[in-house]
Amino acid sequence: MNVEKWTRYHADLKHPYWWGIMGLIVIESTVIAIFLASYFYLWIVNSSTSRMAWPGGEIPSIFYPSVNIGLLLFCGWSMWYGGVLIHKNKTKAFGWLAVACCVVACGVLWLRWLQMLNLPFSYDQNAYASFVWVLSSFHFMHVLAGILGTAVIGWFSFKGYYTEQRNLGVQIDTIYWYYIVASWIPVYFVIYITPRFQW
Amino acid sequence: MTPEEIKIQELEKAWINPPGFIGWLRIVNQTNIGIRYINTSLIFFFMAGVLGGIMRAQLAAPENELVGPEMFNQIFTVHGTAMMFLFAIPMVEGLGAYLVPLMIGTRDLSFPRLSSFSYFVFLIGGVTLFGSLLLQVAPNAGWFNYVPLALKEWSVGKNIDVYATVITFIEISALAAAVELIVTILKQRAPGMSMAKMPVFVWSILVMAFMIVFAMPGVVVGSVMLALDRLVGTVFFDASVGGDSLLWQHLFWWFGHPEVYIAFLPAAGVVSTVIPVFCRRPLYGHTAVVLSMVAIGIISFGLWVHHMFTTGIPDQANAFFSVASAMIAIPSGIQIYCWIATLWTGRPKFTTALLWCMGFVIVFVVGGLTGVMVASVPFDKQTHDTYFVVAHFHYVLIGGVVFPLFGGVYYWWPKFTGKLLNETLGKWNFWMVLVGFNVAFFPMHLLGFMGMPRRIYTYLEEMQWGPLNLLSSIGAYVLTLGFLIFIVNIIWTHFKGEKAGPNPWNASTLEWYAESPPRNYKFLEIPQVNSLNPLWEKEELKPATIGMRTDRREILITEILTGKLQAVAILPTNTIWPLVLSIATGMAFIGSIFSPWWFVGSFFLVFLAITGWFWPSRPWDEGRDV
Repeated sequence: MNVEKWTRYHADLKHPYWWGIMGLIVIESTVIAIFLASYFYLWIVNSSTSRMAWPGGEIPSIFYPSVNIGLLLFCGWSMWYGGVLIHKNKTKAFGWLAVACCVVACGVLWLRWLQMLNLPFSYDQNAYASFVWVLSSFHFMHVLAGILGTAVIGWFSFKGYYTEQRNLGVQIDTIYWYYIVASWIPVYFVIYITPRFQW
Repeated sequence: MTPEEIKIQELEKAWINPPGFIGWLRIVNQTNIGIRYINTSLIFFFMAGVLGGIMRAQLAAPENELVGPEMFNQIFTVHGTAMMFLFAIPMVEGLGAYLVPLMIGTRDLSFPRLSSFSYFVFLIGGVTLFGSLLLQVAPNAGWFNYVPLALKEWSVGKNIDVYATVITFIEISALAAAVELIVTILKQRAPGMSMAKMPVFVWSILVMAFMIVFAMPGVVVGSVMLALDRLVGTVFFDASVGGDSLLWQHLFWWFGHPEVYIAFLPAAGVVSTVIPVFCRRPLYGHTAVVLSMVAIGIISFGLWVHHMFTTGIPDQANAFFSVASAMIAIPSGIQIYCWIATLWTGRPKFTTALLWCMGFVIVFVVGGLTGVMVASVPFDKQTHDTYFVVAHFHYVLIGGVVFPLFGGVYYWWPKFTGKLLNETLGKWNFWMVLVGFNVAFFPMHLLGFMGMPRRIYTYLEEMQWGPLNLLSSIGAYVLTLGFLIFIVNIIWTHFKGEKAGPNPWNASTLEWYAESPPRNYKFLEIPQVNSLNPLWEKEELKPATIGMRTDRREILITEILTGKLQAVAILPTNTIWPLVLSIATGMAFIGSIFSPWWFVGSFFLVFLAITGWFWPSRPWDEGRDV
C-alpha cells in the first residue's frame, strides 16, 4: 500500500497522543475512585463500630462548589466549541475562547480559595475534613494545570500555529478539560452532598 | 549509491542518537532506554542482593552483633522495597520497552520522550532510596510499611517520609511506562498482526501494563495519604478521629498483591517465548496460555485481603478471599501444563536460557504449592509473619520472576549486544543459583514451622534456630557466587564472546528479523505479518507499505483488533526536557520530605518543563496538506 500521500496531521484516535491522554485520564480516575472508595470505607467502619458519627462535625456549605460546577461546565463547553471553530480554521476565535476558558477557570480557583478559607473545620479535625481538604486541593491543582496548559495553547493559536488540520494540542487540552470538569462531579457529590443524607 | 543505500543513510540520520554526555541525556530511542532500564534494575538487584547477604550474615548465628536492630530494620526494608520497586517492575518494563516495539514490528514506543522521562524518574528515585540508606535515614517499617508504626507518632525520623514520597515518585515512572506500552501494543503493531497473531510475550506485557494502570493508584493514594498525615497533619490513618489503620493495608495490598503478578506475568511471557524456540515447535496451547494470563490479571485484583487474614476482618470476607486465592492456581496451572506439554512434545535443546525456564517451572511450582497452603485461613493464621512466608514469597518471586528473567537475559543478550553469552559459564551460573537458592530458602519453611518470626535481627540460642539459619546463610552465599558468575560471563562475553547473527536461535518472532543489535530505526521496511510465528513461515516477509518518509521518524498506526493499516504518524526526536521534567518532579516529591512548599514551587517548574517538552520547533510548516 502506498502511504506517501496520506496525511500526517492527526488529531483523533489515529494519533498515539489521543490514547496517551486517555491513559492519563484512566490513571487519574482510578486515583480518584480509590480516594472515594476510601472515603466510604472510613464512613462504614466508623458507623459500624460507632467510633465516630460521620462526618463528625459541621458540613461545609455547598454554595461555592455548586457555582463551580456551572463555571467548569462553561470551561468544557468553551474548549469544545473552540475545537469546532478551529476545524473551520477560525484559529483567532478559538484563541479568544481559550482566553475565556482561562478567565472563568481562574474564577473557579478564586471561589475554591474563598471556600477553603471559610470551611468550618481544619484538615486535621477529623478524617472527613481531611478528605474535603485533600480532594478539593487536588482538584484545584488540576484546574490550575488546565489554565496554564490552555494559556500556552491559546498563545500558540494567536501565533498561527494551529490550523484546521494541525490541532492535536487543542484536542488533547480539550479532552483534559472534559476530565477536569467530569472528575469534579463525583467528588462534589461524594464530599459535599452525601454527608447531608442520613441513611 | 543505490536507492536502498540512500534510504539507509536517511534513516540513520533521522533516527540518530546525539553524541557526547549531553547527547546521552537527550536520547529517546527505545532500545537505549530499554537497556538503561535493564542495566539499572540489575544494578539495583545486586545492591539489594548485597543487603540480603548482610541479613544472612547477621542471622547465621544466634545473638550475632554484626548489625544492630535499627540498621537491620532499614536493611530489610530497603532490600524488599528495592527488589519490588527498583528491580522487579523496572526490569520487566525495561524488557518490554526494549522488546515490544521490535516484536510487533514498529520503530519506537508511542511516546519516546516519556520513555526517557520515566527512566530518569526511576533512576532518581532509586538513587534516593539507596542514598537514604547510606545516610541511615532509610525506610525502616518493612516494604509494606504498616501504619500506625509508620505514623509520625511512632516513627519520628525522616525514614518513613522517604518511603512515602519516593514510592509515589517511582510509581510515576511505572505508570508512564505502562501507558506507553499499552498504546504501542494496541496501535503500532505491524500491518496484519491481529490480536490473534500477537506474540505471547507481548500479551504478557499488555496484561501487565493494564494491571499497573489499575493497581498502582492504590499505593499512590495510600502513600499520598501517609505523606500528608506525616508532613501536613491530615488524619486519614488516625483511628481516634475517624481514620483507620487497616485502610492503609487495603490500599497497599490492592496494589501489592497484583504487584506479584505484575512481575510474574512478563516472566511467564519470557518462558512461553523461550521454551518453544528451544523445543523447535510452536507453544502448546497458545490461546489457553494467553487467556490464562488475562484471567490471572483479573483474578489477582480479588485476592488482596489474603495478606490480612490475621487482622480480625469478618470470617465471611476471609472465606471469599481464601477461595479467590486458591482459584488463581487454576490459570497458573494451565500455563504450567502448556509449558510441560511443549517440552514433552518438542525436541528440547538444553541451552542456558531453557535451563533457567525449566528451573523456574520447578521452583515456582513449590512456591505455588505453599501459596495454596497459605491461602487457607487456618494455615495462614499459624504461619503468618513467620519464616514460612519468607520462604514462600522468595520461591514465588525468585523462582517466578528472577529465574525466567535471567533466562530472558541469556536468550535476548545476542539481540541486545550482538554477542552470545558463554554457555559453560551460563550453566555454572544457573546450577549454582538453583542449588544456592534451595539451600538458602528451603530451610526457611522449617524455621517458620519452628516459630521463627520474620524481621527479627537476632535470636537466642535456646530457640534452636541456629543450625538451619547457618545452612540458609551458606546457601545464600552459594547463590551470590552464582550471580557473580553472571557478571563474569558478561565481562568475558564483552571481550571474547561469539558474534551472533540476526537470529542465532532460529527463533520465530520479529525482533530476530532486525539486526543484532538493532539499528535505531529497527526495520528498513515495516513488514506485513500474516502469522503468529512469522520467521518460521516458508514465505519471506514483505514490506507492508511504500511511501513512508525516511527523513523523519515515521511510524505506522494500525487498528486495535485487526491490525489493519490505519495511518502514518510522526514521532518526536531527542530532547533534554524529559530529564528536566524528571528533576523538577523529583524536587516536588523529594523536597516535600522537608517542606510542602517544595511541592508547590516545583509545580511551576514542572509546568515549564512540560511546555519546553511540547514546544514546536521552528520553522513551522503550513500545518496542512498542500
